[in-house]
Amino acid sequence: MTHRRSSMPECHAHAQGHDFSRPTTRPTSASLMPLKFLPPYVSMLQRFTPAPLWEMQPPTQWCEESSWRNAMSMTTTVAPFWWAAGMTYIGYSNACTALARDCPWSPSSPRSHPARRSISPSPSGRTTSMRSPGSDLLPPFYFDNAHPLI
Amino acid sequence: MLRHAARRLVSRTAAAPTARRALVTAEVPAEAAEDSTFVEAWKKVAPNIEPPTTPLFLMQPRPPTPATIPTKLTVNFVLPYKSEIANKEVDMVIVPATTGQMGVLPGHVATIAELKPGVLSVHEGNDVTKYFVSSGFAFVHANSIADIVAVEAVPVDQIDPAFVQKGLAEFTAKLGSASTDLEKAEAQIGVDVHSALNAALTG
Repeated sequence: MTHRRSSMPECHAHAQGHDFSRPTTRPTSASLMPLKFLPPYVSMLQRFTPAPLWEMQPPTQWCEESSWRNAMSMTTTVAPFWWAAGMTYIGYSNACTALARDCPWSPSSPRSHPARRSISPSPSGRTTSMRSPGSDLLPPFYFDNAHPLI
Repeated sequence: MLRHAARRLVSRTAAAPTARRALVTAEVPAEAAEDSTFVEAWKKVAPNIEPPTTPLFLMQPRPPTPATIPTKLTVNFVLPYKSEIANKEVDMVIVPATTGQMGVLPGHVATIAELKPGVLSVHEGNDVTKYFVSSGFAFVHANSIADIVAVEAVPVDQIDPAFVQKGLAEFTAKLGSASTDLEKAEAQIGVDVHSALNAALTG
């Protein structure tokens, strides 16, 4: 199965900790100049994305955080491949989960019993396979252990 | 009816200081079992009805940060449908963070780590428990408590080797024939996950 990018509009009000998982690959001209000598509105006009909420603080705090953040973005120029392709970490996590969910082989795993796999359509129409919470509690003699690949 | 109580709660919430730093895990202060402010406000409004039990009543206060480094690390490992490990004291936990394998010992600095597909190993004496974690987050608090939240985790001994080899070959072929950036990224995710599964089986 393939996971497409979420159709929900991406929220631009990022949390403070979220910026570390998405380093900027193209530093703007504002990040190359010392930001302490620029007024906030000039620097904000040159950004590609709207300013996060924490930048609406007093100028002294603003300069400290922004200078530190731009220094971080200048040093770490390597972005993960899923972010460069337009995925968020949630999409990446969903893709990894869908693959990891099919890998176990046990009497209660969903792949060994295709008929017991539950498929629930999401509001956008896509389907994902889900593991039922109580499937591990069923007694083993209800299943036959024939491996479908052998 | 609850106007005064709501006003008191709002003012109490607004008085709390906002965390300024990004990576600081906010210390929840150890409070009393009952919120005395809420009980007083309730008895003013409805003196004949017993005050309800708020979620604060059911929450346990977070243990304080000890002065000396403890000998054991407390681990909580939670899945969406199950609590794998709850308040277990172990020697070390190795977490597959995005930045690399991160070993968490007692006294580790407070950290929030993003997880990638890999093996989570819990070391307790000579006993090592290994899980393959798809993705999630690991929170290491200042009081030597590690909370690991994963979307999916599989014990390593339940991984099917035939499925791993088949999936690795399949996604390698998909990576070669992918055209758009999104398809390349999805194929790369498949290759990464199955390579990590293969490493979990062999290593």
